[in-house]
Amino acid sequence: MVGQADESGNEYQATESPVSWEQRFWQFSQDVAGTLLRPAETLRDIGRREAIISALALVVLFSGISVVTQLVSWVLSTTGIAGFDSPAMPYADQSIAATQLTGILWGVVWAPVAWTLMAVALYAAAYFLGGRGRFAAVWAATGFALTPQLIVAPLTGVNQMLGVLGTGWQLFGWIVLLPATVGAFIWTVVLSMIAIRETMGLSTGRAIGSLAILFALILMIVVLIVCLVGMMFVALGLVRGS
Amino acid sequence: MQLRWVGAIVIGLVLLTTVACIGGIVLIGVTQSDTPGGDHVAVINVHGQITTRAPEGLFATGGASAERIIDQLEQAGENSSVKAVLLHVDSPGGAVVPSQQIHDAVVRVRDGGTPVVAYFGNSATSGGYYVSAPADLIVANAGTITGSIGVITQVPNLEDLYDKLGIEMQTITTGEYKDMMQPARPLTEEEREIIAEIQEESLDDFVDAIVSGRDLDEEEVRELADGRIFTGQQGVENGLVDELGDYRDAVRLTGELADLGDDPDVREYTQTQDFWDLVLGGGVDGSGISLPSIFDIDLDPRDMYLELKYGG
Repeated sequence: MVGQADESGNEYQATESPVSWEQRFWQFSQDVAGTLLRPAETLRDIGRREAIISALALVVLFSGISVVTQLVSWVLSTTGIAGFDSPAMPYADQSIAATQLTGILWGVVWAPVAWTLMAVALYAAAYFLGGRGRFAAVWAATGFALTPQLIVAPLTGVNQMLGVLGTGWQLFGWIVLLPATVGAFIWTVVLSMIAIRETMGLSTGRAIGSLAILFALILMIVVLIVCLVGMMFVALGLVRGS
Repeated sequence: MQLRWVGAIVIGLVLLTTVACIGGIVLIGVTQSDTPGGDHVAVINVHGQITTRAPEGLFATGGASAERIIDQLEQAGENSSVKAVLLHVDSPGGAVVPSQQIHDAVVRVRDGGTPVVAYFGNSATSGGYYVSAPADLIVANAGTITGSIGVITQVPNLEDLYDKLGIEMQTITTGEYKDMMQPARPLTEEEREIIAEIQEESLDDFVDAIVSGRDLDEEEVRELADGRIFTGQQGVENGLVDELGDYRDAVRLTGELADLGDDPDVREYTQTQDFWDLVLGGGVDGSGISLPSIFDIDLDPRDMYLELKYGG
């Protein structure tokens, strides 16, 4: 391992992959803090190291936190352990409970999948706008760009806890959670822009353009899904009506 | 401070908060748990007009949703820690079918071995009384308005209004009575007879529910079933109510009935709502708020166990 110092004099170990678990952890911690405090240089370095495993660990960590807290709350609710001033046993229908459980667990799978799809789309958009770089670098850097989600992940748990306390508390939880979620989303978007800029050698304007293409793509997919679902309902309505 | 330490602190705080939240959820859950020490009285509210489903949110006007109440009754019946159900009724009644459904659910809970006590607040008339009839004990305040045993059907006649507006309904039907309750014309005598027959059937069902639930003679109930209202005091005299008392008395009597003493642990069933349910009033079925619900307008002609408003 070779250490180096940044402008602030902080030790910055980044030139070789760490080998032991301890070193991996410290590198991970450094990457998390660096992404939040010095995003440009950290994301550039993460991309250069193609730290995909670390990025995956981050994504699994924040989605896992959300899933575990939801799971605990769900188990307490469905088994009737939680009290009645709460979402106690709302799932008389077992199929609804099964759907809820599947939805919660799907969160762990969905987060890495969404991150990967986002990286693919961003890489393609950046390439289209003249950027050049390795996909693995974009993949790793965009993963760490999701670091704000790690900070807001425990809020899901706080909200679940408030939900158990009662409806009024739950509303308060939502009031706190909503701006925090929106703030984390904006922060993530900014970090994603920096990630794509640093790993694909783009200007800030073109990096924003890449993100705009990504959002346009997402919007198109959403509209397509809404149209398909709408058509499905119309078709079902016609069948029932006939 | 080294960057890696900052990262470690961030990760540590995140994990610590998560563990604290999980611990908090478990702790809160366990303190209200279905454990041997957690025996309690489950309070289920029947507040407002009885409907199949009612929007329940911040801006919703509310109502007694049969879907929600039946769900809660079933949960209470299946929970071994629930030693008695206290049905808190403050309702002018409502539609026939949801009232019958709630009534049947109360019977199932009672027959399953869980005592049911009905407490009447301001009013428990018509459907509000119907759903309470199977209770082991009915407690009402002296000034509670109850009774109103009967069935009412309201069909608006908008013929003159349509004429003024120049609207002419063009109705094509496959049978003589297919459009019998449409508001564009008055009811014919034959149609009134058809509705009266249906009402008699519903009334018979109402009377049967009281006879079997209150252990009264059919003749006695028929005498009371002329649609009149009674105070709680009068209810005690004619057998519709067992005890006079307020909510605290009802809780005490329920606790004693369930062998939980005179100060039992009471837990109120509430509806689980997510953020959008809270804001938009999706409630049980996500039906949301509609103008008719806000202005309390009933646009559908149907049989009602008398909907009554007492006072101004």
